[in-house]
Amino acid sequence: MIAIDVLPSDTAAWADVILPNSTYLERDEPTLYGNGVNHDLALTTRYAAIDPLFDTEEIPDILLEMTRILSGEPDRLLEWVEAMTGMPAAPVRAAWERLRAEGAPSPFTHACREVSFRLSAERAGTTSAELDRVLRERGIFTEQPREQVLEHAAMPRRLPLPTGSGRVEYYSSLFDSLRGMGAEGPHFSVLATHIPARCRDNADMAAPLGADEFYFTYGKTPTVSYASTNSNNPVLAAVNRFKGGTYTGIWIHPDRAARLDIVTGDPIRLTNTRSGQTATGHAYITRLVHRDALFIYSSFGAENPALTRSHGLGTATNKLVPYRVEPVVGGFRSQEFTLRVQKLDNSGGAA
Amino acid sequence: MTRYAMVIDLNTCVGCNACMAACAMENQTPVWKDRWRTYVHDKEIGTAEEVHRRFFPRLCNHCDNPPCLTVCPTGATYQLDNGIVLVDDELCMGCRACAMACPYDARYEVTFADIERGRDFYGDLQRERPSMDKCTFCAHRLEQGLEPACVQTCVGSARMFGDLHDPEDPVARLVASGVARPLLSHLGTRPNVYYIGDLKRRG
Repeated sequence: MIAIDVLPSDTAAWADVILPNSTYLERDEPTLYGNGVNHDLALTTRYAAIDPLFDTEEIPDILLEMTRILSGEPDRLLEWVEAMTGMPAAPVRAAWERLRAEGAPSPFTHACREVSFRLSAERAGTTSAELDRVLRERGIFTEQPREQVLEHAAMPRRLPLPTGSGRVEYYSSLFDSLRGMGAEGPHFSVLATHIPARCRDNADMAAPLGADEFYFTYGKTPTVSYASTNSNNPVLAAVNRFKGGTYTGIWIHPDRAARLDIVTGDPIRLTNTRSGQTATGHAYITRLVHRDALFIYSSFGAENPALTRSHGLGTATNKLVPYRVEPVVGGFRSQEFTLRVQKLDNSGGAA
Repeated sequence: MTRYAMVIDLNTCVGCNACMAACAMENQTPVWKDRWRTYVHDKEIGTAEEVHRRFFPRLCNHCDNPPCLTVCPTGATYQLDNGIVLVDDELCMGCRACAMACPYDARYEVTFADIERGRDFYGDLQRERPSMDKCTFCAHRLEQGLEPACVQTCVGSARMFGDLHDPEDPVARLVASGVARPLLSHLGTRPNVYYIGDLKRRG
């Protein structure tokens, strides 16, 4: 098992080989990209704030080397990158060979970046150097302000809907093509189809929940990144401690908690009624959660003691979510079950 | 003469805590013992079924009539002409009277042990002496023409900083309009941190 990570994460603890990745602070991103939700048509990218502290490597260079080891044909990766992203393989290869000959660090990553800058600059009618200067100064490079974008791209007056007919279609030609490739079942219906929710094997959604039974929902904290790459940061860990049970507790509505004789801070065990998976944690009683649901922040629950500031804090959602994959987008069906809550005594046994 | 003040818009605070992190890094506060110059409460408010989550940033209010200053027996706590309340750590004897007097819970203790820990935590520690520490409105950044760290980092632009004595300053206008109001004004502390309450639910 191979793990690519910036921290001694729970996954890294199981890995036979760890390929240490540079952190976002040490990284020039391999491409330019759009600037998120802003309506202006603009470009941005990330610049390394510091040189790498350790002998770490960028993801594209790791993938290229792994391709070489596995297949002996590193060009295949460049072809796939072109097919998936449009980044042309030939100039990337030329830049990569030149940077490698010069002994540059992470030559493949920087080759992708160089070509991305060149193509973006050509499209914007400027030079790579000017694009770089503006990005370093302002953080974004505006290609077109939103007023101009809307002049030619506003839907529906300027631009027809992005369907085959340019009009509203209730038939999905995409799903039709997927069915033609072998996709089956109601999730791939070519027409809008209602698929009834199901959280219990032997009861439909209308059947009442047991006194100790809850639906499950979860969310993100602003202090832990999506991939938990900052979970051992000392200041952010201190913020998490300041927030206490709000962040690291299991949210239960007071009306339901009272019936189970549970108060804030009580140790509890959660059991998935479909998969039998269990996890423990501490109750946080709040009216901010629905009476029928438990809520957990998914940022916590790391178990690797090498994560000195975050291990043992909170409850890991991945101990409760079973391996059931939603067939269209491939995500986990992370809420299609119920949980039973059991109060524990201080020794960890049932209270 | 400049009179510094902060307005915090509770409608646009998203509870991201970036202010806490930015302040901690800028001012090297002893976060390992859960002491902060600024912090964001995370509270549920309302009654019955009308319950909302409220993020509520707090910091020293840099009062015109600061109780922490009047009770300070050594003169360590002092006030600049621009309103900023500071602590001279050469004079502070750590008696904690300021912490007891402050109604905004804005003073905390930095000990010799914290300084030792801080050297390990932050690396190049700026502080050499203990004191009853507090927010300075980032006076050292203001001298360089920069905003306080918490204001500059605020993603929701919930924190605004300005001069109450400049009638054109947006902060002064918000305060003059009455939409931004101070905390515990009945105590007579005349604070210089103002809050814009929940406009949506207040109507």
